[in-house]
Amino acid sequence: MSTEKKDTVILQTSDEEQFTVEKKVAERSSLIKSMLEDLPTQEAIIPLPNVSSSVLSKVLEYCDHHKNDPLPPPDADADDSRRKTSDIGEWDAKFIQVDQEMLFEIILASNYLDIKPLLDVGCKTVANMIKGKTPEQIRTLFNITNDFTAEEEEQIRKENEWAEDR
Amino acid sequence: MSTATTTSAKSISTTPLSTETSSPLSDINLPDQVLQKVLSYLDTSTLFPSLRVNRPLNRLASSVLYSDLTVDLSTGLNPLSSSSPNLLHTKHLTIKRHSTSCLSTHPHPHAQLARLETLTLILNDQDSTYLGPIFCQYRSECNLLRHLDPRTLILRIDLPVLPTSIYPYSLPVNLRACNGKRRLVLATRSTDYWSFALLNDPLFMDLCQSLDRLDIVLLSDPGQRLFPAKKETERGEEQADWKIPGELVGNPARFATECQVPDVRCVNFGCLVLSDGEERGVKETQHEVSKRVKHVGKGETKMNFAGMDEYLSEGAQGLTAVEREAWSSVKI
Repeated sequence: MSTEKKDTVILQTSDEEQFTVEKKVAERSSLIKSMLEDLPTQEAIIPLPNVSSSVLSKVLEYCDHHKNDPLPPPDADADDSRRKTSDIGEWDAKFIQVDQEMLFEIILASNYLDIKPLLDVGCKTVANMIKGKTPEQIRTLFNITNDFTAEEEEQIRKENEWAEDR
Repeated sequence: MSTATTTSAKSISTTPLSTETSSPLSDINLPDQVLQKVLSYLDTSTLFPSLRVNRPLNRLASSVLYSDLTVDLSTGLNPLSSSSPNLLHTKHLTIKRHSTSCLSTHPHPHAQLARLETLTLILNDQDSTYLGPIFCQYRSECNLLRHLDPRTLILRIDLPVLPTSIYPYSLPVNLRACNGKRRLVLATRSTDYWSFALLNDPLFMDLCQSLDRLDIVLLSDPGQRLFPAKKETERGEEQADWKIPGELVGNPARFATECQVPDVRCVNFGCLVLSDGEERGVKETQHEVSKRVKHVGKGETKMNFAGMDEYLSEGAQGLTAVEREAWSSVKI
């Protein structure tokens, strides 16, 4: 078995497409990293039933770009409860400029694959989309059905009026 | 990215990391955990509109609003010592004696929604933990320290404390602009020293520096004792119930004298009864207050709450309908 062979892993998507990727790139995913550690052989195919090929392709693009970045500590979220949405890197910002459906798919995939930095970028992007919008604009943006009665919504509005930007 | 077909490779099974249910948010079909993360990137003022989007988002936004104040009761000690930037002020929270204090927040049971309204302090011992920093933290969280504009905050702190001596504590605060002036109304219905410990808090005093007017509305029930610690140390029997360090017992008069607010009004609607039974609280307060402090209360002992309606009615003049409603809710 060649050295090159050992340094790659095979990922299989939900639509049964297989990706041979550099191990270093694949291990940006904590899920894949832990699975590789448990594998008896380096030749295994790692199935990713929750990720389609189009999304994995995009995710791997991110992982490849960031393959040399230091890994975030496991408890990176613990002391970062109220974060800034503006600190998305230039490359990441351009990378995440995708349609809404793909954006959510990337977020879901990064959550499933446990790629915290990518999940952060996705969540920050959605937060930026919400920022400054009225409830109605948020509903329109994400096609959300309002399940409040008019009275309930008015009550909430009144209760929180003091805190909203005018 | 290359694709490969490797027939000899061994396949392993995977299961999703998270099994949480997805929120029915139409196009936002993200797990709650992820949506909470999204919402956590919004500051408080931009988080509030999401409360009105729909029920699931309301629930999640509420949990984010409260997350900084959620306390693990099992830890037993000051939960506000976390590194959260929103809790910086709470470093001043003091725990004294052998007490163990926990904080917990609960949304108002009838409000259903996130209202920064009810803060419950649970004391496992009779200690001297005081509320000033917590109070300031709350307003910092609401960005009100930076925005003393025509917004109104009604903050109520209820304190069911001590299994042996449970007493309620309410501290409604009305922050608003009155004819362009920044004004704070601190209404206290106090049967104890807690609210006056607040008045000793330097953070609270700092806030007041930016005010044009401060009203301290005292709603002491006639006959109730306002400063129990001051005198009851002489009573062995009651001392056990009121171990209150003197340095935490402030009073509105001293506060009014020391703070730099140009217009401070102490409004008394109750009888300030010292623990020795002598009903001289109001007069004593007036005597101590400097000349620049204007008393608009009647300054008599044994007043009842009838005067409160009158005061609130006067105070509500010139307000918008929303402000008037908020103002009237100062009533406890």
